[in-house]
Amino acid sequence: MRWTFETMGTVVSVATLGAEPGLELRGRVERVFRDYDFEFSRYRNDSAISRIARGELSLMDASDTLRSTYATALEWRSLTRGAFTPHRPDGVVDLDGVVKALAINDAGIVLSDAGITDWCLGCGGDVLLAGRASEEAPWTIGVADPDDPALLLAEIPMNGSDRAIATSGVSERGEHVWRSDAGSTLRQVTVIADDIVTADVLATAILSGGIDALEQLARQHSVEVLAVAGDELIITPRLRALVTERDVSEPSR
Amino acid sequence: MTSTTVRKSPTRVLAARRSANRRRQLIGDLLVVLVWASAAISVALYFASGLVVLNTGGGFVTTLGIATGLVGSDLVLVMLVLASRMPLIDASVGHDRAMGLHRKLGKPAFYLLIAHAVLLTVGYSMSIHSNIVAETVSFFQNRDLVLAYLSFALFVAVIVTSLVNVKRRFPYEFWHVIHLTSYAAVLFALPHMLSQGQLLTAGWQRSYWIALYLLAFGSIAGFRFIRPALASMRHRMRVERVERIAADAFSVHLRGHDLERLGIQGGQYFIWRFWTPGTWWHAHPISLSASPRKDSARITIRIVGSGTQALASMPAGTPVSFSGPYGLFTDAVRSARHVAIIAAGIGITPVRSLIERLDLSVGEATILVRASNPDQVYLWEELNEIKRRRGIKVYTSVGPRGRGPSGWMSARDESRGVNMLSVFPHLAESDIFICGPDAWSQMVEDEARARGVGPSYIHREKFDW
Amino acid sequence: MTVRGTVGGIVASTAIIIIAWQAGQSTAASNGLRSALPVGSTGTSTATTPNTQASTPSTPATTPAAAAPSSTTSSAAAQPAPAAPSPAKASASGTFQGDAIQTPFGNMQVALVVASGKVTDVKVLQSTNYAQYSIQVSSYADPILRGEVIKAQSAKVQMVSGATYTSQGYLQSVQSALDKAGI
Repeated sequence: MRWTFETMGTVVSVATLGAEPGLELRGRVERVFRDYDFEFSRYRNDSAISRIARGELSLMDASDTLRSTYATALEWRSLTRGAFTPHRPDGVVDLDGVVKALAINDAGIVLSDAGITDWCLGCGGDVLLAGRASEEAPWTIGVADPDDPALLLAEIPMNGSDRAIATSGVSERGEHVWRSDAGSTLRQVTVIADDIVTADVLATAILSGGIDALEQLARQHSVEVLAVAGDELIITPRLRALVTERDVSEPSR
Repeated sequence: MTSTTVRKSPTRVLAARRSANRRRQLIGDLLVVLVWASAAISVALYFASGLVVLNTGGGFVTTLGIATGLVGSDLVLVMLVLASRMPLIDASVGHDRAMGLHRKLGKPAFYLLIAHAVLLTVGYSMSIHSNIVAETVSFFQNRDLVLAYLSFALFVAVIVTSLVNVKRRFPYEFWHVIHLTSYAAVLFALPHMLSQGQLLTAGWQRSYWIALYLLAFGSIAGFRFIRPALASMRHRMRVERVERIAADAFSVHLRGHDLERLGIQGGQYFIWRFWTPGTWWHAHPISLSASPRKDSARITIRIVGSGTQALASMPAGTPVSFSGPYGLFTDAVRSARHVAIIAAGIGITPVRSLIERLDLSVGEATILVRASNPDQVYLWEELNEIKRRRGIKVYTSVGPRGRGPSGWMSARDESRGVNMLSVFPHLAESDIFICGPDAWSQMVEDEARARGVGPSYIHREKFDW
Repeated sequence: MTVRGTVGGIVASTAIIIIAWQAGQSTAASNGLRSALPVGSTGTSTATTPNTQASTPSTPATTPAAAAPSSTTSSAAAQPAPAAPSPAKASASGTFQGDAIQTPFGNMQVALVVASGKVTDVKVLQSTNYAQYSIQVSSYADPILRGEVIKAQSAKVQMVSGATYTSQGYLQSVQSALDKAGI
C-alpha cells in the first residue's frame, strides 16, 4: 500500500507491505512533518526559524526540539570538518539540512512503533526504510538521474543493514548547497547509511567538500556513495557490486 | 404424611446428586477458565500478529498501551456476557455469583482502560518526541477517537456511580440510568478499535473482535430482552391481588397461563416488572414464595423503600413482565443427604417454595428462621403447615443479635449455648442453604466453614445486583 | 468458581500467551526485518556480492550494447596496469596506459597514474562522448561507467532518491510516477 502527502514544500511517499496503515497512524506520521515544518520552515514567516533569522527569537528561548536540532547540526559540522554547516555564509542559522532528515527519522519511529515491519518512506528524494518490499524482494531504490528527471542512474537493492539513502545535488532548488570546495566537479551525491540523518548530512557534506570529502567521510562513517562528477560516476566498492550486473558465472557462495 | 412416594435408595440418590453437581461445577470452572482465556487470547492474538515492538521506549509503552486496551475491552465484554443472564451461566454458577464477578471485574477493566488511554498517549508522544498535550489535541481531531473519549467518559460515570460509597448516596433510579449508558460506552469504543492503529483494520483478528462484540451484545439482547419479552407475552401474567401479610410485607398473587411450562424449581426467583405508571421502569428480583400452579403464582415482598412501597398499592389487573427463572437455590444443587436451611427475615420466601419441592425423607431437613422481632417472622403459618406435612423441623431465633461467634443468632439463644451444631446435628452430611442480608449470610457461612462444611455444600442466595 | 477454575484459567492463559508470543516472533522474523542479510559495509571486493542479489531481476537484454563492457570496463581500460589499486605490489609507480576499448559510448582509453601502488589519477585519453578531462580518484571510490551500471528500470524500484525534490520537481519525477502507480 502507498500513500502520499505534501509537506515541507515537497511530497512524502510511504509504501508499506501488507495492511494499509490506519487513518490515525497516517495522521501521526503526517503530523511529525507538520510539527517540524511549523518550527523550521524558512519559507514560513511565522516559523521559529524565521523568527530567529529576523532576530526576534533567541536560540536560547527556542524550543527544546529546535535547540537539540541545532546541536545535532553543530555536531555534524565538526564531524564533517565544516563541510556541512548549519549556517549560511551570511551567518543565518539554516537547519534545513537536518530538519527533513530528523522528521523522516521520527516518522520512521512512529511507523515501526505501530508494529509495521516493512515500510519505505521517501521525502523529497531522501529514503528511509525497514524490512522488505515483499517476501521475495528487498526494497529497491532508484537513484535519480540529475540530467533527466524521467530517468534513473541506478537501482539499489537494500539488502543489508543500511536503511537510509539520501541524495544531494545542484540540480533542483538551484545551488542550495554552499560549496566549500569551489573546484568540485560533483553535481550529485547519493549516500547510503544506517540512518537518514547521517546519509543526508554526508550527502550534503560530500557535495560541498568534493572528492576529498568523499574519500574521507565515506571511510570514516562506513557509508556507501554514488556520486556524479561532471559526466562521470564515482562509486564505492560495495555499492558497485550492488548496482553492476551480477556475475552469474560465479556462484555467489 | 401424604408426600412421600416410592423413593430410590438413599445411596443411589446421593451418587446421582453428587455427579450432577460435579458436572455443574466443572461447567462453572470451565467458564472461569474461559474468562481468563478470553483475556489471554485478546493479547495473544496481538502477540501472534508480530506487530509487537519492545526495543524502543515509545514502542514498548505503545505495546503496553495496546495490550491493556485489549484486555480491558475483553473484560468489559465479559462483564456484558456475565450480566446477560445467559441460562448456561445461571445454571452453572448462578446469576447472583455471575453478577458478583461482574462487579469484581469492573474496577480492573476500568484501570486497564485508563492505562490504555494514558500509555498510548505517552507512547505516541515518546515516539515522535512530542508532548502529551499536543498528542491529546491531535487525538481530538479524529472522529473515532472523539467517540472513544466519550466512551471513556461514560465508563468513568458508570464506574464511579457503582462504587459502593457513591452508590448509596444516589437513588437507585439515578444509578440505573447511568449504568444503562455502559452499553453506549462499549459501543462507542468499537469504531476506534477497528479503525485506529494496525491491529484490527483487517484480518482475522478484526473478525475475532467483531465476533466478541456480537456475542456480548447478542447475549444481552437475546437473554435480557427478547427471551423475557417472548416469555412475558406467552404467559400473560397479571396481578390478581395484593395481600398484606405483615406491617412491612405483602404477597402479590399473580395469574397467568401455562406457568408449569416455565420449568420453575422451588427456591428460584424472577426479575419482575410491574406495568403501572409509577413502577414500570424498575425491575425487582423477587423469589416465588409458593410453588406456582398452572395458572397462578405468588411472590412475597418486604417494603424497603419507595419502590416496593408503590408495589403494595398496585391495582388488580396490572400487567406483569418478567425474566427468569434464575438461581441455584434449589433441590438440584444438593449433594448431601440432609438439608440445613437458615433464613433471615424476608429471606424465608425462597425457602418456602424450596421446601415444597425438596426431595426429602422425614427428618432430613431442618429450618432455622431468624428475625429481630416476632413481626418479621413471615409466612409462619404456612411454614408450620409444610413442617407438619413433610416432617421438617423448624426453629426460630427471634430477638436482638448476639455478639459471639454465633452472632447471626439472637443473643438469647447464643447465651443459652445454642450453636450451629446443636441446631443441625447432621451438619457434616448436610447441604446448607442460607438466605438473608449479605453480612449476616457471611457470618453464617463463616461458622459453617469453621465447623468443617465444604464450600460446595454451602448455597447462598443474594438478590442485590 | 473454585480454586480449580482460577488455577486452570491462569495456566490456560499463560500457555495461550506463550504460544502466541512464539508465533509472533516467527511471524516477525518472516516479515523480514530480523532476517535481513547483513552486508559488511567495509568490504571492498566485488566478489563479496551478497547472495540475495541473485534474486534481483537482472536487466533484460534490451540494451545489449550497455551490457557488453560490464564488469570489465574499468580494469580493461587500464589493462597494462598490473599495479592498479592492488596493495600487493605497493611499490609500483608510473603512468599506465590502457588499451582502447569499445564502449557503448564509443572508443575509450584511459591512463592510470600510479604512485607507490596507489592510483592517484585517471587520464581519459580517448572518449567520444566525454570531454577530455581528468578526475581525481579516490582510492576508496572508483569511477564507473554509466553503461556498467545495470540499466535501472522504474518498474523495479519502490522509491527514488534524488536531489531535493520540490513539490514542482516532484510532478515530473519518477517518484511521482511510482506513487501514481500506487504499488
